Amino acid sequence: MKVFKKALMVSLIASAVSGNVMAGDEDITLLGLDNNGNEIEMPVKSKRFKKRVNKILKAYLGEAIPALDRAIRSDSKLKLREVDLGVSVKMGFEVPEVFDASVEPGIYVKLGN
Amino acid sequence: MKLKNILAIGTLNLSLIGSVFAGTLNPAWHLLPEDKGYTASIEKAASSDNLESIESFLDIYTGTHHDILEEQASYSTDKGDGWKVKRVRTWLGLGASGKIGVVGFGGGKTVKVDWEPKKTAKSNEIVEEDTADVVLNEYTEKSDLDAQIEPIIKNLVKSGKVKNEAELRKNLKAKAVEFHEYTKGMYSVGDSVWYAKKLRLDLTISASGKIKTFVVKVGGDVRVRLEWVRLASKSKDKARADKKSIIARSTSKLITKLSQDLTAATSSVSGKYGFDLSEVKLCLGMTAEGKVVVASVKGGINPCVYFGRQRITKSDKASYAIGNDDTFPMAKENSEGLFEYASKNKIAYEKGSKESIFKVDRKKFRRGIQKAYKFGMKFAKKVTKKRYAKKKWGIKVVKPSYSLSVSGSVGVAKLSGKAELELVFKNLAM
Repeated sequence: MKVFKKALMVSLIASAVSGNVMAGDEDITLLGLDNNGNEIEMPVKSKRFKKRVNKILKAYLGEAIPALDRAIRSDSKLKLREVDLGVSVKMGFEVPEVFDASVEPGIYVKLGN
Repeated sequence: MKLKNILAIGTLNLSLIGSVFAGTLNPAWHLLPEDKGYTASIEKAASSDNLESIESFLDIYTGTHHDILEEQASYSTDKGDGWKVKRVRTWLGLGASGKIGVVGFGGGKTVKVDWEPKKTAKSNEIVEEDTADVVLNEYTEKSDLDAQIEPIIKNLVKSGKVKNEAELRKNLKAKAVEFHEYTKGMYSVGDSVWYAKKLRLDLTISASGKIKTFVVKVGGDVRVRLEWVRLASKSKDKARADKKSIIARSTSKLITKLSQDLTAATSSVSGKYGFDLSEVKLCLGMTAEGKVVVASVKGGINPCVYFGRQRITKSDKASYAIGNDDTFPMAKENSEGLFEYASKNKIAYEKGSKESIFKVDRKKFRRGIQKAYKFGMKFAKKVTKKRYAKKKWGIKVVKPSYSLSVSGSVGVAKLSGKAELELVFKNLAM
C-alpha cells in the first residue's frame, strides 16, 4: 500500500509537470545569491516570468521613458534618443509565508526611438 | 493495480520529471583539476559532451526570451513613434553543483547573451553597457591625464555622489597613473594573429572618495571607467614599446606570450555553427614588486585586456613557438588545497600574504583555450537552433566566462566563483 501511495504521488507530480510542459509553461530556473553569498535556486513558471518582464518593459516604453523625454524637451532643445536600462525582475516564491526568499534576474536593455 | 505496473508508471514519470528539471552542466566543463571530485577522466569527457544535460533548460530559456522580445517588438510598433527595445542582454549563471539558471546583476556570470532585432543588427559593433569616462591611446602622455580626470572629479563632487574631493583626487589620479603604465606595455611584438586592442579598468568609488575592491551593485557607488584603445597600426609596436618601468616591461612580456598562445590555440579551429570567436578578454593584476600577472576579475581593482584578431588568417608557426619561456604568471587567492595541488603537480609558485603567484604551463593553457572555444561554440549552437530562424530577434553575441586553473586548464565560471577569461562569439549572420 505504501508503494502504491508513493507511485500515485509521483504520478500526480509528474502529470502536473507534464501538463505545464504541454501548455508551454515549463519551469525556468533562476539563480541568485543571498546577502550572505549563499546560492538561491528558484524554478518559476516561464509564463509568469514572461508576464513580469513584459509588464516592466512596457511600463518603461509606454510611460516612463516618454515622460522623461518630455521633461528634457520642456527644459531644453535636446531630445532623448537612447536610454540604457538595467532592469531587475524581482521574483519571489509563490508562497512567501513558507519560503522567505527571492531572486532578481537582471536584464540590460537599450531603448531607442 | 499490480506492483509492477505501479513501478512502471513511477519510473516513466520520474524520467519525465528528470527531463523537465534537467539543467546541470556536465562537470567536465566546470570542474578544475585542483577542485574536489576532479578525476583525470573528467577532462576527457568534455570533448564528447554536447551539452545535452542543459539542452532542455536552454530550450526553455531561448523560447521564453524569444516570446518576450516578440511581444515587445509588436508593442512598440503599435505605438507608432514610440520607443523600441533595440538590444537586450541577459545573463546565465552556474551554481556550485553545476546547475544552470538565469541570473541578475550580482554574482559571477557564466554566459552573457546579447539579443538584437535581426533586421537592424548588421553591424560589427559589440554591445557595451557603458562608455569610458577616461580614454587613452598610444599618444596619451601622463600630463594629458589631468585634463580628463579633473572634470570627472568636479562633476562627482558637484552631484554630491562623492563628498571628499581631496581623497577622490588622490585615489583616482594614482590609479590613472598606474593604468597609464600598463598601457605602455600593451605593445606585443611578433606576428601574432591575436593582439591587444583595448585595456579597460572599471573603478568603483565610494562616497568618501575611496576606490572599492568589489563589484558595484545597482545604485549606491559610482563607477569610473578608464580605457586605452589602440589607434595606430600594430606593425609599429616594436618601435613604440616603452620598457622603462617594471609595469610596462612585464605587461609587454605577458601580452606577447598571451597573444602567441591565443594564436597557437586557435590556429587549428575555425568558425562553426555560424559563430566566430571575435574577442578574448583576460584580466591583469600586479604583484607588490610591480610585476604584471594574469588575475581574476575584481571590480574596481584590476584592468582587463581585450585581444582582437588581425585580418590575417594564419601566422608563421615560429612566431608562436613557446621556446624556453614556457610559463606565465597568474595570481590566485591563497588556499591550502591549491598549494597541495601545485606541489603535487610540480607547479611552481611564490607564496604571498593573501594571493600567490603560480607559473602556468603555456602548453596546457593553449589546450585550455581550445576547451573554452569548444564550449562557446557548442553553447552558441544550442541557443540558435533552426526552429528560431523565422523569429524577429536573434542572439548576436555569446560571451562565456571561465575560471583558469593553475594547471592551465579552464572551467566554465560559477556564480560564486571568480573568472579570469572571457571569450566573445559573434553571430556571423547578424
